[in-house]
Amino acid sequence: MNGYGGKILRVNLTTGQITKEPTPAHVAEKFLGGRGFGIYFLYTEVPKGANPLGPENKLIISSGPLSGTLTPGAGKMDFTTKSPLTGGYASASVGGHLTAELKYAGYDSIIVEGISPKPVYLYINDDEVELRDASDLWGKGAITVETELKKRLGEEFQIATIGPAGENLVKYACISHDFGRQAGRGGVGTVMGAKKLKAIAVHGTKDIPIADPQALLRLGTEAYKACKASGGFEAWVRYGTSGVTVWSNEVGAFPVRNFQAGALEDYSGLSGETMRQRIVITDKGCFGCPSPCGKYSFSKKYNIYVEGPEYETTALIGGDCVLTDIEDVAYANWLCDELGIDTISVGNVMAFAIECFEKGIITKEDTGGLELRWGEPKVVFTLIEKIARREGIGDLLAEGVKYASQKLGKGSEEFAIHVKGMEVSGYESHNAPAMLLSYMTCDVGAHHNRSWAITYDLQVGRDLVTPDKAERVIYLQHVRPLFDCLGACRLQWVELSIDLGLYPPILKAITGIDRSWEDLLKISERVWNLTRMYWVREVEGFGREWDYPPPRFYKEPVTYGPTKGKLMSWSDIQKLLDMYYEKRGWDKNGIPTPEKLAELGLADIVK
Amino acid sequence: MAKVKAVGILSRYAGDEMEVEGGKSVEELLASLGIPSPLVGIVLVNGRQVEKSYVIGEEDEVKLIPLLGGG
Ligand code: SF4
Repeated sequence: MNGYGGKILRVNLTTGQITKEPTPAHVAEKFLGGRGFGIYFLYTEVPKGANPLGPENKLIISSGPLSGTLTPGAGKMDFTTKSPLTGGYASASVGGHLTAELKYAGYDSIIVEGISPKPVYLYINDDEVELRDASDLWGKGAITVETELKKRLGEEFQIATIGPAGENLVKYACISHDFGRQAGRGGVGTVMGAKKLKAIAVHGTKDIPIADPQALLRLGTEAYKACKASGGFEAWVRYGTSGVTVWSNEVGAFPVRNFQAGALEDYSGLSGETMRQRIVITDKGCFGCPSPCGKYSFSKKYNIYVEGPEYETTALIGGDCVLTDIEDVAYANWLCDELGIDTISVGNVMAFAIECFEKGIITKEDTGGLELRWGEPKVVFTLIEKIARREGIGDLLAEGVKYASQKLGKGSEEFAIHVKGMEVSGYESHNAPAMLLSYMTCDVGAHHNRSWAITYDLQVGRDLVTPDKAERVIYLQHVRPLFDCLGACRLQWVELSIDLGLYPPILKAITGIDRSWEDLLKISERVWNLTRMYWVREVEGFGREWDYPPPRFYKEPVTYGPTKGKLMSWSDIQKLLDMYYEKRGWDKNGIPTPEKLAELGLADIVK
Repeated sequence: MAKVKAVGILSRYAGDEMEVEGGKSVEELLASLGIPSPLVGIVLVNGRQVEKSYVIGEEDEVKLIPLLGGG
């Protein structure tokens, strides 16, 4: 099959059995690859009601048809599973070099099943696949293990690994790769930990069959040239996502003090320029990327090397916990990377804990004497360690803000900042209806990756709650995650504004199948609706209420920043959902109608 | 004099902060500073969003905010 590795690798950790199956052509046709494969296998293979940490849950790791080819940023890998954090659908992607390597070894997906009786890692060297003992790696940090495995196996092996947080089943543990990139959200690393799978090491040397190599060479080169010619190129490569920090503060989108404020009083210590001048030592890119946005840094203060901090880490640890020195954020970032924790969720969790302490809901007795205060680096570092090891208060906080607030009660649910159990990422949305709707309806919980609509709010008016906003969110929810089906980075389009029209001809040159943008968007809509049906199937009573935002956004006005005093109204939230469901062809409760499912060719899958 | 603040990457063109005389539109201001108009996503005057055709007043505080795609 042109454009594909051709095989699915199935690894049963309980029995140790390893099988290779041909990649089903009908699945490639309907779901493309990446997160499309992920939800297809999750929906059809993992039984209803499976315990996310039990042997029935599977971890599905997939590349896409663009992965590993001559396409800008063709290095994204998707991890799909049933989320231990939310109980619903989880899919997280990572850049780096893993996805290309997996395809060169001849595989489109790895489906990991069961639970290993002892810690193992999965070794893949082209056709040679085995489970190897990882007892000596268990307990070690993610960066340490990656370094160690490369030493043992060779630099050419690409490694994905978990840290102690994954082993200790912290509900938002991540999977790390390439010394500082993560499949971060939803607890994909927790599932690896539950399966006692410490790492995956891949090396491949095969060719990917390409339908029309000459056309790909021409079209791919054209796309690379378009990236380099982009007006945004220089700034994007200089700052990467850290360029967002100043912007976000200036427009009041920076989460501060557990999303109470929309800007820091002084953010100069966190700006992209400060970071570049003080700690960045080099740029770092993923496979085949013309615009390396990764910033590799060294902190003198802490004597550590770290990739980042990315905007999200700066927002949730710098802004939300009020650490205003980039080196403190960098060290917290390093701790999270080594321990294997999602910086977005943990930043939220810590801000929540500090607010609980301030309000007397958590006391010194609970924290072992530690006073939880805003702006204290030591508090942040200690909490991260405690959470990763589930020590003391860390045991409760390791469950995420939804569970922790339910357990603590005393009104803390009102300021537990999550949707569907996933903590909100780095955009304060009291006065940004399209962004808030993006969070409310995102298919993994409150994450910005599917739709980033805050610029749209700014452009058309922040107070407006109009149907075009719902339309915009839906459009973005189809375009952006389409890249996760294709197995490529979306940022060349998002940040460098290269023409989306470049992609269908490239995909055709690779696969030999002619598809228009509309065809591709239809596939993305199919995937979206199937992820929705997964929630419907797995979560009892799932519906409209699950799309509600955290109460803080409609009950408490912003305390500081350009949007001071603003908040959403409850009736506008209902209006947003009504408009959104209608445009999606879903019923009033947010469930896709049978007609919609039939239209998308899902009727036979969702029975 | 009106105050102009260019945020983030735009500060390369205008420095962090400068003063200009009123009476020009934002579009004209951008041209005189050599800032490519498409790079400017949002213009805030005294904290409120305005069109690029807005004519700057003597007492205004103008903030030029770059267009961003976001992560
Ligand atoms: S733009 Fe950044 S995330 Fe995307 S491929 Fe390049 S380095 Fe990776």
